[in-house]
Amino acid sequence: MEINTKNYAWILLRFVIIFVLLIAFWTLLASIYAQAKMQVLQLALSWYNPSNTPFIRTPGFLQGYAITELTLLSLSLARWNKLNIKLWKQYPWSLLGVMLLLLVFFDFLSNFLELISQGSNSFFLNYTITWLLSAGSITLPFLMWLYLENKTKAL
Amino acid sequence: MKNQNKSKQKNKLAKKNLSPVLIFILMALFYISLFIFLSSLSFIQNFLTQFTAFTLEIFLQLLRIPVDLINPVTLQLASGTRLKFVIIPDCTGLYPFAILAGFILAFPAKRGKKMLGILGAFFASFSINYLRMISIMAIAIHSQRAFEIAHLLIWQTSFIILVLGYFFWWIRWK
Repeated sequence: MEINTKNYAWILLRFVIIFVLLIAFWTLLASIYAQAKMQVLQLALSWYNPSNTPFIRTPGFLQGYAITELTLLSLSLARWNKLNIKLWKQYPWSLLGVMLLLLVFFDFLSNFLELISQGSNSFFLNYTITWLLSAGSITLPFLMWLYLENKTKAL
Repeated sequence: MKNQNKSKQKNKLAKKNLSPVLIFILMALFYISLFIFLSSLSFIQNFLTQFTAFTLEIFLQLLRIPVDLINPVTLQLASGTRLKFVIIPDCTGLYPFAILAGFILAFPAKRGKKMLGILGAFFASFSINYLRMISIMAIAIHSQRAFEIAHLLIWQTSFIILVLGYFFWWIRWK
Protein backbone atom coordinates (compact mmCIF):
# COMPACT_ATOMS: atom_id res chain seq x y z
CA MET A 1 0.00 0.00 0.00
CA GLU A 2 1.30 3.43 -0.86
CA ILE A 3 0.15 6.63 0.75
CA ASN A 4 0.62 10.25 -0.20
CA THR A 5 3.73 11.26 1.73
CA LYS A 6 2.69 14.92 1.58
CA ASN A 7 -0.45 14.22 3.53
CA TYR A 8 1.11 14.94 6.90
CA ALA A 9 -2.15 14.82 8.88
CA TRP A 10 -2.83 11.30 7.64
CA ILE A 11 0.72 10.21 8.42
CA LEU A 12 0.50 11.77 11.89
CA LEU A 13 -2.74 9.94 12.64
CA ARG A 14 -1.26 6.64 11.49
CA PHE A 15 1.87 7.38 13.51
CA VAL A 16 -0.09 8.02 16.72
CA ILE A 17 -2.16 4.83 16.35
CA ILE A 18 0.87 2.63 15.58
CA PHE A 19 2.93 4.26 18.33
CA VAL A 20 0.26 3.74 21.00
CA LEU A 21 -0.06 0.07 20.02
CA LEU A 22 3.70 -0.43 20.10
CA ILE A 23 4.05 1.33 23.45
CA ALA A 24 1.36 -0.91 24.94
CA PHE A 25 3.25 -3.95 23.67
CA TRP A 26 6.58 -2.60 24.94
CA THR A 27 5.14 -1.87 28.39
CA LEU A 28 4.06 -5.50 28.72
CA LEU A 29 7.39 -6.77 27.47
CA ALA A 30 9.53 -4.31 29.48
CA SER A 31 8.52 -5.55 32.92
CA ILE A 32 9.24 -9.20 32.00
CA TYR A 33 12.54 -8.17 30.44
CA ALA A 34 13.49 -6.02 33.45
CA GLN A 35 12.92 -8.91 35.87
CA ALA A 36 15.03 -11.28 33.77
CA LYS A 37 17.74 -8.64 33.38
CA MET A 38 17.97 -8.01 37.11
CA GLN A 39 18.53 -11.69 37.79
CA VAL A 40 21.16 -12.06 35.06
CA LEU A 41 23.01 -8.96 36.23
CA GLN A 42 22.94 -9.95 39.87
CA LEU A 43 24.36 -13.30 38.92
CA ALA A 44 26.95 -11.98 36.47
CA LEU A 45 28.17 -9.27 38.78
CA SER A 46 28.12 -11.21 42.04
CA TRP A 47 31.94 -11.28 41.95
CA TYR A 48 32.00 -7.50 41.82
CA ASN A 49 29.05 -6.82 44.06
CA PRO A 50 29.68 -9.05 47.09
CA SER A 51 27.34 -7.16 49.39
CA ASN A 52 24.58 -7.77 46.81
CA THR A 53 23.70 -4.10 46.63
CA PRO A 54 20.35 -3.89 44.90
CA PHE A 55 20.09 -1.98 41.64
CA ILE A 56 18.52 1.41 42.00
CA ARG A 57 17.09 1.54 38.50
CA THR A 58 13.40 1.00 37.92
CA PRO A 59 12.09 -1.46 35.29
CA GLY A 60 11.51 1.49 32.95
CA PHE A 61 15.27 1.63 32.50
CA LEU A 62 16.54 2.55 29.03
CA GLN A 63 13.14 3.95 28.25
CA GLY A 64 14.95 6.50 26.07
CA TYR A 65 16.31 3.89 23.67
CA ALA A 66 13.04 2.01 23.57
CA ILE A 67 11.04 5.15 22.89
CA THR A 68 13.39 6.40 20.17
CA GLU A 69 13.28 3.03 18.48
CA LEU A 70 9.51 2.75 18.77
CA THR A 71 9.19 6.31 17.41
CA LEU A 72 11.37 5.47 14.40
CA LEU A 73 9.53 2.21 13.84
CA SER A 74 6.17 3.97 13.99
CA LEU A 75 7.35 6.74 11.66
CA SER A 76 8.62 4.17 9.19
CA LEU A 77 5.36 2.24 9.26
CA ALA A 78 3.26 5.40 9.15
CA ARG A 79 4.88 6.65 5.93
CA TRP A 80 4.77 3.25 4.27
CA ASN A 81 5.67 3.53 0.57
CA LYS A 82 7.57 1.66 -2.14
CA LEU A 83 10.98 2.79 -0.92
CA ASN A 84 10.12 1.92 2.64
CA ILE A 85 9.12 -1.58 1.61
CA LYS A 86 12.47 -1.87 -0.17
CA LEU A 87 14.24 -0.87 3.04
CA TRP A 88 12.36 -3.46 5.09
CA LYS A 89 12.99 -6.15 2.49
CA GLN A 90 16.71 -5.43 2.27
CA TYR A 91 17.50 -4.85 5.92
CA PRO A 92 14.93 -6.64 8.08
CA TRP A 93 17.54 -7.87 10.55
CA SER A 94 19.33 -4.56 10.70
CA LEU A 95 16.09 -2.72 11.34
CA LEU A 96 14.83 -5.01 14.05
CA GLY A 97 17.83 -7.09 15.11
CA VAL A 98 20.30 -4.24 15.48
CA MET A 99 17.69 -2.11 17.22
CA LEU A 100 17.09 -4.89 19.73
CA LEU A 101 20.81 -5.40 20.12
CA LEU A 102 21.32 -1.66 20.75
CA LEU A 103 18.61 -1.77 23.37
CA VAL A 104 19.82 -4.86 25.22
CA PHE A 105 23.55 -4.20 24.86
CA PHE A 106 23.41 -0.60 26.03
CA ASP A 107 20.97 -1.53 28.77
CA PHE A 108 23.43 -4.05 30.21
CA LEU A 109 26.41 -1.82 29.57
CA SER A 110 24.96 1.21 31.33
CA ASN A 111 23.75 -0.92 34.24
CA PHE A 112 27.20 -2.40 34.57
CA LEU A 113 28.86 1.03 34.42
CA GLU A 114 26.43 2.44 36.94
CA LEU A 115 27.23 -0.35 39.33
CA ILE A 116 30.95 0.23 38.93
CA SER A 117 30.56 3.98 39.30
CA GLN A 118 28.68 3.74 42.60
CA GLY A 119 30.73 5.73 45.05
CA SER A 120 33.22 6.68 42.36
CA ASN A 121 33.94 10.23 41.25
CA SER A 122 35.44 9.19 37.92
CA PHE A 123 34.67 11.90 35.37
CA PHE A 124 35.15 9.48 32.48
CA LEU A 125 32.69 6.94 33.89
CA ASN A 126 30.06 9.56 34.61
CA TYR A 127 30.61 11.07 31.16
CA THR A 128 30.16 7.67 29.47
CA ILE A 129 26.98 6.97 31.43
CA THR A 130 25.58 10.41 30.60
CA TRP A 131 26.46 9.91 26.94
CA LEU A 132 24.82 6.49 26.80
CA LEU A 133 21.67 7.45 28.65
CA SER A 134 21.04 11.03 27.60
CA ALA A 135 22.53 11.54 24.14
CA GLY A 136 22.99 8.01 22.86
CA SER A 137 19.34 7.13 23.31
CA ILE A 138 18.28 9.53 20.57
CA THR A 139 21.48 9.64 18.54
CA LEU A 140 22.46 6.00 18.06
CA PRO A 141 19.16 4.49 16.87
CA PHE A 142 18.47 7.55 14.71
CA LEU A 143 21.87 7.55 13.00
CA MET A 144 21.66 3.84 12.34
CA TRP A 145 18.22 4.27 10.83
CA LEU A 146 19.42 7.22 8.77
CA TYR A 147 22.31 5.17 7.42
CA LEU A 148 20.05 2.32 6.33
CA GLU A 149 17.40 4.63 4.89
CA ASN A 150 20.05 6.42 2.88
CA LYS A 151 21.42 3.15 1.55
CA THR A 152 18.05 2.32 0.05
CA LYS A 153 17.28 5.96 -0.83
CA ALA A 154 14.17 5.67 1.32
CA LEU A 155 14.84 8.97 3.03
CA MET B 1 49.34 4.30 -20.00
CA LYS B 2 49.82 7.31 -17.76
CA ASN B 3 46.13 8.23 -18.09
CA GLN B 4 45.09 4.67 -17.29
CA ASN B 5 47.26 4.66 -14.18
CA LYS B 6 45.84 8.01 -13.13
CA SER B 7 42.23 6.81 -13.49
CA LYS B 8 43.06 3.63 -11.54
CA GLN B 9 44.53 5.74 -8.75
CA LYS B 10 41.43 7.95 -8.76
CA ASN B 11 39.16 4.89 -8.48
CA LYS B 12 41.21 3.60 -5.58
CA LEU B 13 40.88 6.96 -3.84
CA ALA B 14 37.13 7.06 -4.47
CA LYS B 15 36.76 3.61 -2.95
CA LYS B 16 38.71 4.71 0.08
CA ASN B 17 36.51 7.81 0.48
CA LEU B 18 33.74 7.49 3.02
CA SER B 19 30.18 8.00 1.90
CA PRO B 20 28.71 11.43 2.78
CA VAL B 21 26.22 9.81 5.15
CA LEU B 22 28.96 8.03 7.03
CA ILE B 23 30.95 11.27 7.26
CA PHE B 24 27.84 13.01 8.59
CA ILE B 25 27.30 10.25 11.18
CA LEU B 26 30.92 10.35 12.38
CA MET B 27 30.98 14.14 12.55
CA ALA B 28 27.65 14.26 14.36
CA LEU B 29 28.94 11.76 16.92
CA PHE B 30 32.08 13.84 17.37
CA TYR B 31 30.23 17.13 17.90
CA ILE B 32 27.65 15.57 20.22
CA SER B 33 30.39 13.92 22.29
CA LEU B 34 32.16 17.26 22.51
CA PHE B 35 29.02 19.10 23.65
CA ILE B 36 28.18 16.41 26.20
CA PHE B 37 31.76 16.61 27.46
CA LEU B 38 31.47 20.37 27.91
CA SER B 39 28.09 20.06 29.57
CA SER B 40 29.49 17.45 31.98
CA LEU B 41 31.75 20.07 33.55
CA SER B 42 30.41 20.66 37.02
CA PHE B 43 30.29 24.47 36.88
CA ILE B 44 28.18 24.35 33.69
CA GLN B 45 25.87 21.70 35.15
CA ASN B 46 25.47 23.60 38.41
CA PHE B 47 24.70 26.84 36.60
CA LEU B 48 22.15 25.21 34.28
CA THR B 49 20.30 23.24 36.96
CA GLN B 50 20.18 26.19 39.36
CA PHE B 51 19.10 28.59 36.62
CA THR B 52 16.37 26.20 35.46
CA ALA B 53 15.06 25.69 39.01
CA PHE B 54 15.10 29.43 39.70
CA THR B 55 13.34 30.43 36.47
CA LEU B 56 10.85 27.57 36.77
CA GLU B 57 9.80 28.82 40.17
CA ILE B 58 9.14 32.26 38.67
CA PHE B 59 7.12 30.84 35.75
CA LEU B 60 5.11 28.57 38.04
CA GLN B 61 4.34 31.44 40.42
CA LEU B 62 3.21 33.54 37.46
CA LEU B 63 0.89 30.73 36.40
CA ARG B 64 -0.38 30.49 39.99
CA ILE B 65 0.95 26.97 40.51
CA PRO B 66 2.05 26.99 44.16
CA VAL B 67 5.64 25.81 44.45
CA ASP B 68 8.60 26.39 46.79
CA LEU B 69 12.27 26.44 45.91
CA ILE B 70 13.53 24.49 48.93
CA ASN B 71 17.17 24.47 47.83
CA PRO B 72 18.94 25.79 44.68
CA VAL B 73 17.94 22.74 42.60
CA THR B 74 14.84 21.37 44.36
CA LEU B 75 11.28 22.49 43.89
CA GLN B 76 8.38 21.26 45.99
CA LEU B 77 4.70 21.56 45.18
CA ALA B 78 2.99 23.58 47.91
CA SER B 79 -0.36 21.83 47.44
CA GLY B 80 -1.89 18.53 46.25
CA THR B 81 0.61 15.64 46.21
CA ARG B 82 3.41 17.95 47.49
CA LEU B 83 5.93 16.14 45.31
CA LYS B 84 9.57 17.23 45.29
CA PHE B 85 11.42 17.77 42.00
CA VAL B 86 15.19 17.70 41.94
CA ILE B 87 16.37 19.44 38.78
CA ILE B 88 19.11 17.37 37.11
CA PRO B 89 20.93 18.18 33.83
CA ASP B 90 18.35 16.11 31.90
CA CYS B 91 15.66 18.55 33.08
CA THR B 92 17.35 21.57 31.52
CA GLY B 93 16.75 20.86 27.82
CA LEU B 94 20.48 20.72 27.32
CA TYR B 95 20.74 17.29 25.70
CA PRO B 96 18.16 17.77 22.92
CA PHE B 97 19.95 21.04 22.11
CA ALA B 98 23.39 19.36 22.09
CA ILE B 99 22.10 16.61 19.78
CA LEU B 100 20.44 19.07 17.41
CA ALA B 101 23.48 21.35 17.34
CA GLY B 102 25.68 18.31 16.61
CA PHE B 103 23.45 17.20 13.75
CA ILE B 104 23.29 20.70 12.25
CA LEU B 105 27.04 21.32 12.52
CA ALA B 106 27.80 17.96 10.91
CA PHE B 107 25.44 18.52 7.99
CA PRO B 108 26.94 20.18 4.90
CA ALA B 109 25.38 23.66 4.65
CA LYS B 110 26.31 27.35 4.56
CA ARG B 111 27.66 28.72 7.82
CA GLY B 112 24.88 31.31 8.17
CA LYS B 113 22.15 28.69 7.77
CA LYS B 114 23.89 26.51 10.35
CA MET B 115 24.08 29.36 12.84
CA LEU B 116 20.39 30.18 12.35
CA GLY B 117 19.55 26.49 12.69
CA ILE B 118 21.47 26.24 15.96
CA LEU B 119 19.86 29.44 17.27
CA GLY B 120 16.42 28.05 16.44
CA ALA B 121 17.36 24.74 18.09
CA PHE B 122 18.42 26.63 21.22
CA PHE B 123 15.10 28.47 21.55
CA ALA B 124 13.04 25.40 20.58
CA SER B 125 14.80 23.05 23.02
CA PHE B 126 14.79 25.36 26.00
CA SER B 127 11.30 26.81 25.53
CA ILE B 128 9.74 23.38 24.98
CA ASN B 129 11.63 22.13 28.01
CA TYR B 130 10.01 24.87 30.14
CA LEU B 131 6.63 23.91 28.71
CA ARG B 132 7.37 20.27 29.59
CA MET B 133 8.45 21.05 33.14
CA ILE B 134 5.48 23.36 33.80
CA SER B 135 2.97 20.86 32.42
CA ILE B 136 4.32 17.87 34.33
CA MET B 137 4.38 19.86 37.56
CA ALA B 138 0.81 21.02 36.97
CA ILE B 139 -0.18 17.38 36.38
CA ALA B 140 1.76 16.24 39.46
CA ILE B 141 -0.43 18.39 41.73
CA HIS B 142 -3.35 16.08 40.96
CA SER B 143 -1.84 12.65 40.36
CA GLN B 144 1.57 11.05 40.71
CA ARG B 145 0.64 8.25 38.28
CA ALA B 146 -0.44 10.73 35.61
CA PHE B 147 2.79 12.63 36.23
CA GLU B 148 4.87 9.47 35.59
CA ILE B 149 3.02 8.76 32.34
CA ALA B 150 3.44 12.36 31.16
CA HIS B 151 7.10 12.45 32.22
CA LEU B 152 8.27 9.08 30.89
CA LEU B 153 6.07 8.50 27.90
CA ILE B 154 4.40 11.59 26.51
CA TRP B 155 7.15 14.16 26.93
CA GLN B 156 10.05 11.85 26.20
CA THR B 157 8.40 10.88 22.92
CA SER B 158 7.53 14.49 22.15
CA PHE B 159 11.14 15.56 22.67
CA ILE B 160 12.44 12.82 20.37
CA ILE B 161 9.91 13.84 17.72
CA LEU B 162 10.90 17.48 18.22
CA VAL B 163 14.58 16.67 17.62
CA LEU B 164 13.93 14.54 14.53
CA GLY B 165 11.22 16.87 13.20
CA TYR B 166 13.29 20.02 13.68
CA PHE B 167 16.32 18.45 12.02
CA PHE B 168 14.35 17.31 8.97
CA TRP B 169 12.62 20.69 8.77
CA TRP B 170 15.98 22.47 8.92
CA ILE B 171 17.41 20.25 6.12
CA ARG B 172 14.48 21.25 3.89
CA TRP B 173 14.66 24.91 4.86
CA LYS B 174 18.41 25.39 4.44
